[in-house]
Amino acid sequence: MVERKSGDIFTGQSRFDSAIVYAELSIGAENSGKLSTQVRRLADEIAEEKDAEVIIIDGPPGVSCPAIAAATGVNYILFVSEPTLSGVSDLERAMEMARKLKIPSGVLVNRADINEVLSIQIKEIAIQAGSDFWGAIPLSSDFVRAVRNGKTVLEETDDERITSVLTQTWCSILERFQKWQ
Amino acid sequence: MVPARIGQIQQYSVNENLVFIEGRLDIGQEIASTLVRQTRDKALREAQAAGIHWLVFDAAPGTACASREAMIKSDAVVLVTEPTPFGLHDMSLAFRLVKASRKPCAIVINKDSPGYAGIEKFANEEKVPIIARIPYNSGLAQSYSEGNLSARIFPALNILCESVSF
Repeated sequence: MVERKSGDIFTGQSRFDSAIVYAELSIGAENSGKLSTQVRRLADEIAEEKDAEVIIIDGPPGVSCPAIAAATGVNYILFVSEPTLSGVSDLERAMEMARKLKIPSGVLVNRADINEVLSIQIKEIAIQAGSDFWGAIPLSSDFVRAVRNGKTVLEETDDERITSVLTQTWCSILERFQKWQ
Repeated sequence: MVPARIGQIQQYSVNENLVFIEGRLDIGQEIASTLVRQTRDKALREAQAAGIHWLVFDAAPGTACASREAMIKSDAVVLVTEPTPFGLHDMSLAFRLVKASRKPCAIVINKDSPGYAGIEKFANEEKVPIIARIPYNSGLAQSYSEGNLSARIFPALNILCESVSF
């Protein structure tokens, strides 16, 4: 058996003084989730050192190893879905993965106004599955501008439909965390 | 060694000119690349048997094994990106895989809007043609959300598709 490098891990600091840990998989390498697991381990260590309350994991779409590696052992999964036929199908599969892992979850619908019917369907799927439904975010070029400017969308928008849903979702999930401590 | 099920491959006839083959991993299964490889090979066999000349492999974003499996049997690669720093970053990683393979490559910019030149700059530097720009358009998004083929709703896209050659 020969050892092979599968990627690189980086750490950094955001503008808001929070630590960031991420990795780049080597080109063509098998994405078995081992690298994700290492990133999580390092994030846990840094969180301990800094006495951080929360670790947010930005997981990949899908249900195979990289997604499972991101989701295993977390307290909560927030699904960001879109109201399209493939979006609904992908959400259902991802929620099934969360159920199999026995992790509570909640759903946000992004770009909700491109299809009101499917947005409502997503809300029903979430509620019937016993998941939280945190609301709908409209399609907005504020997101594109924010990403291009390297800013968070809250810094770039005054659309209350966006700011209220994001703020409420974050605060509510954080409140849950404090109850779990 | 005993064969074990990891997922399902399904074939659909969209119309007399279009066949769709999809691999769907069972929830809880970890490695997608095996299924990607099998789905790809099934598509190649079916195409050969039916005398079909054009195959499009729609691969997951990324540069890992599953993407490579989709790419290695292709004659050319189209990288679909969006005009943001994230789009540029992900595309440049995917491009490394394509460059190493020496396959012809082209870029399509999806959700195109003015105000960001990063993709064009990269395309110039690496000498990769941008063969199409699909505009950021809520009508297109609505039509796609319902499962419509965008080119049916927006004839301008047909012209783009017909002119693709590289």
